[in-house]
Amino acid sequence: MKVFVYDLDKCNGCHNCQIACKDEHVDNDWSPIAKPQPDTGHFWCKVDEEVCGKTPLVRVNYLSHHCNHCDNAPCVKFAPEAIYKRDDGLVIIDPEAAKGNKDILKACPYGEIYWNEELQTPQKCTGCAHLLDDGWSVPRCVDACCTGALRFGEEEDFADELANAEVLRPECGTAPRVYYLNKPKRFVAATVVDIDADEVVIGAKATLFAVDDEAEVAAVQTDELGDFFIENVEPGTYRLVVEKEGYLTQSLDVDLTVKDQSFPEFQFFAEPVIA
Amino acid sequence: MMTYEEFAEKKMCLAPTAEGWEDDPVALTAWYENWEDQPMQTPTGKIEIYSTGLAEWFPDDPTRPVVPHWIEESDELKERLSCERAKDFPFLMVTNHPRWRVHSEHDDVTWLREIETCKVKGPDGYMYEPVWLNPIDAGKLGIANGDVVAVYNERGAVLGGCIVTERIMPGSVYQDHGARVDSIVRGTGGLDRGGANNLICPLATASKNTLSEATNGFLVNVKKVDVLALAEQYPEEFEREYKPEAGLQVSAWIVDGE
Repeated sequence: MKVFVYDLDKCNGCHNCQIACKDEHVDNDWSPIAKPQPDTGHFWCKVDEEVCGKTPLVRVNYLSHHCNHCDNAPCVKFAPEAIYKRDDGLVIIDPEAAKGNKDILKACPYGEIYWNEELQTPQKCTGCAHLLDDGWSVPRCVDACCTGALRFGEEEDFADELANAEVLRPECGTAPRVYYLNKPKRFVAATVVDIDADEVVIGAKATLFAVDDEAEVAAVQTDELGDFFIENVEPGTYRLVVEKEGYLTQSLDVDLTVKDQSFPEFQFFAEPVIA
Repeated sequence: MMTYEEFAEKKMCLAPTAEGWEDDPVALTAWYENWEDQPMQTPTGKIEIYSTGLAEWFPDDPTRPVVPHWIEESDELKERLSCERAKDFPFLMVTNHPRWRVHSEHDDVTWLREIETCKVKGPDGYMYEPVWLNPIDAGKLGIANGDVVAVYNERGAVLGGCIVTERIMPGSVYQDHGARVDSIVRGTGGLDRGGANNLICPLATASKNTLSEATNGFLVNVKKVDVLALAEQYPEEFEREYKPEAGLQVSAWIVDGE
């Protein structure tokens, strides 16, 4: 059975996958796999952009997503007469059998099914099944990926990597066949500034502790610009401690439950000199 | 590497990295070791940091000096936040090569325009060229994400759809160059709906003795505009043939249409 394996560390947000998908499906009739996609408004493959943190400590995340070709697909359960799973794992909406059934869109918890107003039929990613059946080894989105972030193949060939992979919204329980590697978690970042000297502080140690069990999560040093980034932290609440010899140790509670945190001016003070 | 027949068949040829490239000397080493026999085309035959040609012909050019150095402003170019003009135009405008076009080419490509960061939909349904503002500046100016704004200076104004984002620092504004012109008021001091900010960039070149653009950063101010009121004021300009998914139609620029 086939899987999609997407390494988000390698994605640069070029959108080639999104455009290649449109190139394959807009104006092209691949019946019985899929009818033509309308020119605009459908995203059978879509890249999302998310801006995290605060200027200048910012990260931009990209996420390429499409139908998850779930093994436990709610759409197949909802309309078994119109939607089927192939032996290779791909989930296909039969454009004729599904005609007129707009409620199919509501069956997908991921919102990956689109309504074709002109043809009055629900449509989505087909995994380019028509190409695979014609001898292609990968769908167009994967073929167009210039960084190697998007890959497609037999599940057993990816077995080692899938052990560390995630799926989107696993709580839906749909057993997706699209896996993500290196999906960013939260970060905390700061520029440590000696306010009195009006200089950044290089080589300060920043340590992040979990609030619940006080365990050390990560420890880094500020770079030559006084910056540090602690990345890939699980969402939660933490205590950040910043210290350096000759300076007063500073600590701060950091809430990373819903979003990343940046402190563009983390104030630091030299130890008072006793005359 | 391969025969032409092989190339025609494969339609590509990856030039392999040379064997032992790690031992290659750094660039220009051969020239450095024997520059007299292979002189540069400069008067001295060397790489000139002090330009002997400029020293001979234009020794007193204040903005193309004999030794290159930073020049904050000149008589012709006053486009820095330190300039007197910045009192009226307090933002530094950054106009990059566009992410979703090549200059003004492809501004009408439907698949690119529907990418979320490509255009911003105004209350009139027009797809405006994005203008990035930091949340701090947007707050001061009373501008919210999605508002239509005018980016302007004494040379004129262009409209844009605001994206409030941490990706731009306070004090700066960002709008790609190359959005297609859709003039509301033409000429100096005019107004462009398309967001073609080349219309408001500096006219002066870096020096009166040479052609070199200094247009990628310049002073502007930003304000929120009521685009529906503008539409009432300029009905003819706002009724040009337009499709949101592709932009202004060619027929809008042809006498008697079609």
